[in-house]
Amino acid sequence: MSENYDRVHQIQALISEKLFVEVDSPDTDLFETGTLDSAALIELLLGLEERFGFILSLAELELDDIRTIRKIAGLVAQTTAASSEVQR
Amino acid sequence: MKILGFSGLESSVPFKKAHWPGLDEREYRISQGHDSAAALVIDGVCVAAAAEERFNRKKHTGDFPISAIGYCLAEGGISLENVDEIAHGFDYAPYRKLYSLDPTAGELYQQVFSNEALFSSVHRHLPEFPPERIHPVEHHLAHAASAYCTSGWDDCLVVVIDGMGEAHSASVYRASNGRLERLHQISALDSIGILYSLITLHLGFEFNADEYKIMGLAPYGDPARYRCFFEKAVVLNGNGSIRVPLLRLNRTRDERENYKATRKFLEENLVPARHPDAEIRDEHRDVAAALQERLDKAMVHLCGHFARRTGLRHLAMAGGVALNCTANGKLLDSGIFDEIYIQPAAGDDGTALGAALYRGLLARAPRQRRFPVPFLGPAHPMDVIESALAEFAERIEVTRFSTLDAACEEAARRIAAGKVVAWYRGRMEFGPRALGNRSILADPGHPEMRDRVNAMVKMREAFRPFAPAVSLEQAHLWFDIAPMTELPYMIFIARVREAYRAQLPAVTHVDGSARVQTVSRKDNADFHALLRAVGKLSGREMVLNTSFNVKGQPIVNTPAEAIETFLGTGIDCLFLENLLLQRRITHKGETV
Repeated sequence: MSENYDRVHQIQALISEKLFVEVDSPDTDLFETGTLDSAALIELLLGLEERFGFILSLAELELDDIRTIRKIAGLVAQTTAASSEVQR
Repeated sequence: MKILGFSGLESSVPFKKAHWPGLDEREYRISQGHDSAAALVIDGVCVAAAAEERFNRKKHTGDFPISAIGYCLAEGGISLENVDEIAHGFDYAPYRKLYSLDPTAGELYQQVFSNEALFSSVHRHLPEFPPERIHPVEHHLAHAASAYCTSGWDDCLVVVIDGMGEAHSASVYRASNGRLERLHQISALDSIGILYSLITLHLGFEFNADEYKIMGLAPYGDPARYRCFFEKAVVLNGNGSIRVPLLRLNRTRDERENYKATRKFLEENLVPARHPDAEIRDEHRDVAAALQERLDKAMVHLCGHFARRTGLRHLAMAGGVALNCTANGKLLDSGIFDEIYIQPAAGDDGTALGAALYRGLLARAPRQRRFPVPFLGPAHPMDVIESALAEFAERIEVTRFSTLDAACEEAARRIAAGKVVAWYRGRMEFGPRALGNRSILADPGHPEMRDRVNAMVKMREAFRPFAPAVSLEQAHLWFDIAPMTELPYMIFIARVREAYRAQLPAVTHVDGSARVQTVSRKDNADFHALLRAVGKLSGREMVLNTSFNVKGQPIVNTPAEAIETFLGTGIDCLFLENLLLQRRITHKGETV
């Protein structure tokens, strides 16, 4: 729980740092609210790769999986686990 | 296996014009897909390559390279149905969903970037080619393959650095045994290439075209005045990466598209934007100097980090930033690498070659040995030359020499006498530099030659010195390089030896550097023969070598273009193969 809480905060900070956007709630819909456009989203995903040290498969990514900060945190957890599985 | 590669996005600029009307013409170059080209690779070896601009005569064109493709197929002696694959130097498919968030991005993707747009573009121009044999290749992989597959090395570090590919501005790979393993990528929002281009635009030149002018301007300035600005603008991270916070100022779609917030910041915190026709002042020179200094450091930082991490001592590079001769020279001087190879068509024209080579790599096609001097464009047979002579017969006088040696002897005599000589032979170069087949030549020791060629022939800015072409055997005598060092692509600077700087005013920059091209008998026999003839008269097997074109015009391709350009400028004479062309003089002593 606390790990996921940290991740949510890290992503919130990343969005603020990379995109200069403050998102109040981890459940805010980033697309419906117009918080992110396509260019900003690409930038965010590249930032996630850099920050968490994995490579996302963009082609397999579903927009629904990255619609909110909480969902992005879930994706990060899943992808990090999968990457460490591969490395083992 | 026969693979046809091509570069360029023909809908890119039209899309930008439709969606962002009213921009300055120079701002429409802030877009993807310029420098269309085609390359034909047969069993891993490039047999033909050319940029479309040389055929349609529109500099840096992004138009579909139909003429370049036609040429490549003819040169390869094959028809389209013999082509196994067509490869293209962009692959935006992984980004499809990400472009669907806002309507403009969605349209941009559908009309310009998507595979459907690619297939429809190919179908429009080459309707008989089956779409299932068309393959998009990620932009930086195309650049990387262009460098690795022509380096002649099995193992090396590959660094691609440009404005941007699909979403990145730099990619680092470990190349080994026919495979490219990605080690690191830098986002397009941290693009030192884009920053360099924005400063180029800000100083009154063309974005994504005139960066070499800023490089040429830099040695006239003092980097100290704006050093602090560029240290903050380009941050060198501990992991070898680069951050460019200035590019992150753009927050709206419109700001991002045209880097408006970055440019406003430059206006308010660096220097006011210079109008293209305004005088170049000290502040502009100092900005260029500080920017170039930061780029030099960033390149050493990035390449040095991954050299240490991998232990690799050979570096292959491509991407538009890799055309920066000064940064390349500094990297070579740093001693980090035993050898650096830069694929000579390092800009986006080279992704036509790279996309084809990458598809070949996947199919385990053999890799070619070290790229020769890239005379991969069209040669024009004597009957085409004779037709051109007939077309201009009233305005020219022709002297025919029976051998290359005789033509060289006469050309050398004229160069020694201070004449400006156009030199046109054989196959056209692939890539931005004229390396001796479509060149304007003169004596590098003549004190007024730089201004004369700049003003009368090139019609360009007087601050830029020309490059010296020197025989491989003599290069180390004049330049601070080891004997027999091969620098055949005019892509590195080297220091002119102190004792000779005053004797070589037309090719020596104010900082004592020169963009050296070494010429060997094995790679470039005709040009080498000319340099030998020049050496017999001057003791110096060296000429000033600049591309055969005038400002704003692509380098000449056909004999007719060569004659027309010759007649339209102050060039004294033209050698077209072994023919000497001079202006016809009337009995009143005027030219026709």
